[in-house]
Amino acid sequence: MSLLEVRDLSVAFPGVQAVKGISFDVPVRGSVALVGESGSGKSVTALSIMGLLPKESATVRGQVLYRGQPGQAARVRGSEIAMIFQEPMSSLNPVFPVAFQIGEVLSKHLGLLGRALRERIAALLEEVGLPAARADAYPFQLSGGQQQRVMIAMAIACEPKLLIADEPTTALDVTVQRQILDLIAGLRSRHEMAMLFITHDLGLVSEIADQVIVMRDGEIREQGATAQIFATPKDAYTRALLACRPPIGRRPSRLPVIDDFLGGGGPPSGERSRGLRGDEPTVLEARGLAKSFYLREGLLRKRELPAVKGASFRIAKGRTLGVVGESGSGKTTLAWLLTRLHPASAGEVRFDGADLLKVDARSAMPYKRRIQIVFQNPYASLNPRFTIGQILAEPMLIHGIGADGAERRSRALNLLAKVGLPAQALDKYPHEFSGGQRQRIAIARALTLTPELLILDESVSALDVSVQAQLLNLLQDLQDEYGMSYLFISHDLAVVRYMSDEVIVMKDGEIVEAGAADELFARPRHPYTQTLLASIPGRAQ
Amino acid sequence: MREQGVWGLAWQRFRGDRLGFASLLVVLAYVAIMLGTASGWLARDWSEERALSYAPPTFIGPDTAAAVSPVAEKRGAPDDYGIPDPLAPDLAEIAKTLSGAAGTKARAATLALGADKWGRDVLKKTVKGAEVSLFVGLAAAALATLLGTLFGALAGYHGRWIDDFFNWVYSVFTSIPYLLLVLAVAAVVQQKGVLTVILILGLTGWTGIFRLVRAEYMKHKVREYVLAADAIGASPARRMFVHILPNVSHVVLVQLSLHVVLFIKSEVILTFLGFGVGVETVSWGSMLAEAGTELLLGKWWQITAATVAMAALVTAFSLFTDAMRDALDPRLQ
Repeated sequence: MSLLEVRDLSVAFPGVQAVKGISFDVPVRGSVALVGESGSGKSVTALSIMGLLPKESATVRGQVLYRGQPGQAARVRGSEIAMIFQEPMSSLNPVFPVAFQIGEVLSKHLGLLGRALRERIAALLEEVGLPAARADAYPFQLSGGQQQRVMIAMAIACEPKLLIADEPTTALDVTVQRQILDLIAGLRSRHEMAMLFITHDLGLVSEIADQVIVMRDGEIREQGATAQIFATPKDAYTRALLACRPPIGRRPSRLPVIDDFLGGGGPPSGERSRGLRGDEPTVLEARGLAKSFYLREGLLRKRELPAVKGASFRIAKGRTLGVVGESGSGKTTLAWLLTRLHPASAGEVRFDGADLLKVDARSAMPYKRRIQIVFQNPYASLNPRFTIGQILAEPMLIHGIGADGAERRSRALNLLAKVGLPAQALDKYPHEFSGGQRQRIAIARALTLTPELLILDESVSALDVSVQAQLLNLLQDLQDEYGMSYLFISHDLAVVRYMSDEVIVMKDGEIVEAGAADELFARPRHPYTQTLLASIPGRAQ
Repeated sequence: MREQGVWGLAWQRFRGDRLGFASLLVVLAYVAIMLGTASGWLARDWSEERALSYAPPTFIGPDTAAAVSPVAEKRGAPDDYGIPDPLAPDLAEIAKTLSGAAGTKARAATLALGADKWGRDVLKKTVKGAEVSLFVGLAAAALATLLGTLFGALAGYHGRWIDDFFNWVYSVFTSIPYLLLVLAVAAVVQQKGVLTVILILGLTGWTGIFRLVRAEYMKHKVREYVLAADAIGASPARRMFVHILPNVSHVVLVQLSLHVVLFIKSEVILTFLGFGVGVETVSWGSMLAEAGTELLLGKWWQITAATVAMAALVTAFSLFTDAMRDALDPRLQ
């Protein structure tokens, strides 16, 4: 008998059928991965198993059997079934120390008190690899990885038989993700827990799950043993999902997208060569670029927080310089310095003979036009009160491009077509578009100024892999057409490898390694680069 | 089909709120009355003395006691002493004027909502009073919102010493007791009138709006769409007023609406205390001020008319504000 049996589960919200009659099992001590893109219904499935969906809006049909008993799963949640979430910061109460919060679980479910409680907390913290000295820390004093360790400690506090993990490592850096995955795997074998692991990342699945369930639009497209799904996927969608991640070893001329598989066309062929010939002119060169932020401490003292420490690099015309690094490495600050969104503390940025950091705000305008940036979050970077037409016309208006409104409008229409959006989009508002479409609009906005250098600051990181593949293809096409240089910033090593001719690796504000993309990924020299590469999930595949 | 922007969606939600929509109609009716009296279509002759002093409302019927023994006849009695009163004709004239018999036209014994001490129509006074009260409320709220938004935008967006400066001004204004501040402004302006009341309320009432708008600007200035505007070369002023302002306008609008209600009430209080509009014009505040002595005589209709008119407007405006706040709530979008 399976530990958890889901039978014909359907979940409907007003106007949306989120889950459409799915059935699967989680065996005792088994590990099942639920994989799907956003909107596939995977998180809703997990919440309905726990009985955590809002009763007033969700209509749940079908059965969830725990140890063969219906309705039991919701009754034993917190004790026999535990859950960990994506955002540890928002799951912890910010005003209590972490030991107190772990203790709360223990005293509520196990009735532990006093010394027994303290010992159990210490044991748990040790088990999840958190130093005992951090027990009295508040959540904000811990890093993201440490917070997730606390959440895991709370989840396993009552020795659950089933752990439901909803994207537990998505918000974490790749090296931290590696540690957390190892931790979960170790705990699972020690405590003989079953696990339902929910993720959008097929790469992770191959490492942690025996069985995979692929979901799309609330339906199960395919389920089976992990090895079989990866080796011989039967469903076209599963094949597409596996193919549209940029591979580490090769560089196809175009990434396959879902339509290639569902439409029956098959994946594109041909390889793209990247790398510099050596005779490309330099479009931008930074020397000793530095930025420090200051934290006011008391009345007179300031604490210096260096974000970028003396970065030097050059970007070749028509080529892509990739920047990889984990959170806090200074990647985004670097982008802001080059676009003058923040003033630099030291160094120089040579662009077309001028030092960008020396010119005043008025004479910087022509340079602003030639260096554009696309931000990470397409939901935040478009003004919600502007129509797409206004968003695209504004840069042209500011820089005096196009004689009148009609001409600007026709230019905007042209660019919309270039990024693959219909002309009707012009009179709509950002909230009417999906994340991928919004990022296309943001790219079109940057293109209105025909920049020579386009900075892409994690521009595809927030998107589903299939949408990501489409956008990466679009960016390659645009680079071929306009001959733009890219500064491609990402924490995703595979994507950076795929897009870049050259790569720099940043750590704590410093460039630790730089070189041609293929060479750097094949033979990393710096230990940090080696750690990063070894942490990429599913590398063995 | 034209695409619906945030305003279109907000309007749709607002129309779905029946109570809010009805309140809007009431408010619009008051605004129509205000425009009517301001242009002279309505209640132009509010100051005409057309009824007996304290003529009661029609539904009560004429005051029989007052009709039988008019003041002028009582005053005829001194003849008993046999001494001719040299002031008698003058006194009789004054008495006639006071009792309302001096007019060329015959005076009405009752009016729809009664009359005041001078025989002026309470209904017309109430209608005319709506003009001053509502206009003061709207204009003062507009002034306070303008100041609060402008200061809040500058302080919140620029930060540093500009923020420090406006915070200092804010602290000074909020640390002085409100009534004292009002008295101080009134003393400086040294002139009674509608404009003065608007200035007093507007100059003292911007602080709450300032604090809210400042916080909104601090929140929005680090949003990516503002960074994006910076990246395409938009000037600070453009970022502040073209990009951010539409995104905080729901806060500003709700504050504007709340302050209209607040200032209508404040005008009444100021006028009641004698710092408001002068005697040459009428507002609900001056009606309440007059009613203070009338109540002792049992003449309750003037105070009732002014109070009911004000309560209806304030309630409708508050409900309208609530509905607007719900409709504009960005979390619902």
